[in-house]
Amino acid sequence: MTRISVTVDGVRQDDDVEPRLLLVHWLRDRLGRVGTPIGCDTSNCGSCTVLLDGRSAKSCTVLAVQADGCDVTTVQGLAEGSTWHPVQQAFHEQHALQCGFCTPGMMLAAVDLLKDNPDPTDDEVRHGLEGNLCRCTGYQNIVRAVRSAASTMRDGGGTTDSGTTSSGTTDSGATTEVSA
Amino acid sequence: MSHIDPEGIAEAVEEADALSEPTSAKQIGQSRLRKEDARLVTGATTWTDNIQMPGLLHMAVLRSPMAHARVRSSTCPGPRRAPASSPCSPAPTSRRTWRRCPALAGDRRHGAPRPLAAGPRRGPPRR
Repeated sequence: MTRISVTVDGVRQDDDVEPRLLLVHWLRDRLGRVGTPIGCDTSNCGSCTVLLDGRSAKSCTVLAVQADGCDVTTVQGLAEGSTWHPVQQAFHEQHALQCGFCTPGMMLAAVDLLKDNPDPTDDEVRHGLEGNLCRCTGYQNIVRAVRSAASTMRDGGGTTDSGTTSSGTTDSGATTEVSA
Repeated sequence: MSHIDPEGIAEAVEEADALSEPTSAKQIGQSRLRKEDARLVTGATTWTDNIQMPGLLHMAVLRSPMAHARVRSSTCPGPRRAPASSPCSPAPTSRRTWRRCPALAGDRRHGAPRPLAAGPRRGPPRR
């Protein structure tokens, strides 16, 4: 067992894990952060994408011990309370999801993409999200949503109040201990 | 048979101020915003794999790599990880309904989809 300390969605988590444990399994099975789905288990689909110190990473390819000391953001930590991130709002308004299974990974990959490129073209969005697969939408609306979110963020629009509640967001600074 | 006066109805509606002003927003033909997006974009999903409750058990199913074969022997690994109250389940063969259409293959295995054995464990089966 290896002792790790990871900040997940603003909450510091200390836990003893097996070195072979994958980050996504630790998030889901030990922390109960089941908003991050497991799609393929083989790094093909990207649905398990999280932000690791602000950069997108497929959490089925990352060991939990590799995330020691890191700041992990899942889809459940993307919104601020009931206020959605512009990417969440854009996915909703531009109909960028149907079943919603790929959506957490798509949105977090998009957040990382927009950090590097605040004004991507259609081709750049498609290239940036090529590691994420969607079987519902045909990608057209996803590209539209990412560009819409980029426009909102460029205009200084931060998070927008959706009027709906998002579960899973927690007060930052809190510390929890995971029991074995 | 009573007579309905359309003009009278129109006057009544107008007097009651029950008509709203027509809006310029075009609704017909527009996509509707989905209510279910709220949980899907925030990770508050309730798919089967996301169910979490105290004492929740997962079941692993063993399938044969052979499409048609006879099971000569089998061993149960015992309650090393599984709770004692829910042991590894071999195929029951004594009851008629199970013989006719068993969930598990028993001593014979026909066709690819039929499972050979099933066993519970506390956490989800992980490769």
